[in-house]
Amino acid sequence: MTEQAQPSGEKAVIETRGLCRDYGSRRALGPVDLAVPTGRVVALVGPNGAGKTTLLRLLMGLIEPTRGEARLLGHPARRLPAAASGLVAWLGDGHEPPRWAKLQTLMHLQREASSWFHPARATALLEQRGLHPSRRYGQLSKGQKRWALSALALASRPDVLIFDEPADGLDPAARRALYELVRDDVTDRGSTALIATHILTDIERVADMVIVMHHGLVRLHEDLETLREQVREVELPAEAPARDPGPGVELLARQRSAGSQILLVRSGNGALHDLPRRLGEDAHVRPVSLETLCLALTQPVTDNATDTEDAQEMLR
Amino acid sequence: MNLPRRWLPNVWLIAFLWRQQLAVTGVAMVLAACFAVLWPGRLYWPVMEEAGLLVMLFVVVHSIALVMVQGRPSSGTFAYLYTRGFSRDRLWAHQMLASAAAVLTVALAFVLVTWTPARATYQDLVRLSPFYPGAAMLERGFLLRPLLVYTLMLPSLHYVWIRLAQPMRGGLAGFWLAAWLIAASVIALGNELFEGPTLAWHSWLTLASLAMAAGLLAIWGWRLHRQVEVTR
Repeated sequence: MTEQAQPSGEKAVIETRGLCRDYGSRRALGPVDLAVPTGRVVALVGPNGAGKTTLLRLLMGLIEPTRGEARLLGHPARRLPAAASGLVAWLGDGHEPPRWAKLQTLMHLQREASSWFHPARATALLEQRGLHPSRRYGQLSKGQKRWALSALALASRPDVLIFDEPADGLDPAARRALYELVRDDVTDRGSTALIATHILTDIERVADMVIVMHHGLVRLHEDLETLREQVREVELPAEAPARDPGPGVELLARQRSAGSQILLVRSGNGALHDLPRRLGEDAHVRPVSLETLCLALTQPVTDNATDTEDAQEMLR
Repeated sequence: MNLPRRWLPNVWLIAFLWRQQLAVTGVAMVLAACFAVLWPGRLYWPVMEEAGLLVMLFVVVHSIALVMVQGRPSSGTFAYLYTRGFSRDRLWAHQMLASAAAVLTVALAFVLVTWTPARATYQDLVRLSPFYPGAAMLERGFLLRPLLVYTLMLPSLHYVWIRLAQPMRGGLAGFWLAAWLIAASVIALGNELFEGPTLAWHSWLTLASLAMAAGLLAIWGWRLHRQVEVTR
């Protein structure tokens, strides 16, 4: 948030309507309809080639949509007014300053681009990882580079943070520290963070919302809290007979692994409490992790029973 | 009157963009200084037919190199800069300023060699030329023509290069106009068309049409730059 503006309920700061992007005859993304309210940490997950980076680049206005529109802070992403362009911080994969640039120079540039940039905060964040502003970018390790660019983005105190694989190359401690900084920023200032990542265990700790993408489409867009309440992972023996999970329980996905099968079930009416009794002693019911959810929604089933209908039949 | 900060030139951004072009600028400085030191005649227009064209060719190649280094939308640095929060207009204006600064850096090297005893000393030493240091006053205007060609070409080349790099059809739009502009600039300004204390009407006409074409390409470039796709 800017210092004048405060978080305002459910106002969408990131919005897309019918957003598509084609490369030649190949559709890379879409159509995608999204609305991300302010004050959230949003995890954007999905397998390689799912369209995450294309979506982020469209949101940043780096590329033109083939159809539909992307809006940031209420403005078309490709035509952000000059005053708004400094309110969006971006950390892109492969978008790096030249090797000769000193961190200090990058701080000066960032200060010029973003009115809210806080040099002392940037210095403090850099020094958390032992980076002095006099260091050249090219002298840093991969993880240090990622940390440095993240620090500059966070010190810009933007309304919207859009990060593409921010943890790439970071050690576990730095990864955790980075996500906690993002969480604190969103909580303290009411900013919004959209983070595309493959490392789900870390982002799960801080995210409020998840967007799962597959084949250029959004497969799931929900609050994590709701998912935690309403979705369960059920592990059954591989050859378990069909069982009735009870009324109002919806099967989301099914996966087979060695010796077992994993079902993802959902219910909004409290039927989940009764699941262990209905499914029997050999069924292990547990809360769903983001990783399981993502895998189940995006990975092909590995045996003959390949579709959801088949799995529904099994449950019946 | 207090102009908003975002309308003012920023030294850091200009320096950053200038530094990106340092390798090209360095090579151009060495070449320009070598030409000034080793050229055995007086440096004024028309120099000699071949040498005049050579100077203009240098200007063309240098301009192309500057534009290619600075405006590559598929490079990581380009993408980095375009995602910092600067407006597109501001980046375009600063690219022009940084290109101008790079050209002036090369011009400075040339001026320093020409207007200091460096060239006279060397040429006296090797008995290369009988003119120095007496010709210094005559040579004051030598740089005006190359600088004029740079002014005509840089915005045009920025347009052409960005347009070619965009993943959209019609990449050659403006290319032929720019090619004509470059050829006409080199031929018109590199020979005797503008010789003499007053210019003939056809010289003014040539100059005006060149300026118009360059202006048109600069406006197209500025407008296109607002929509440029960062392809990395």
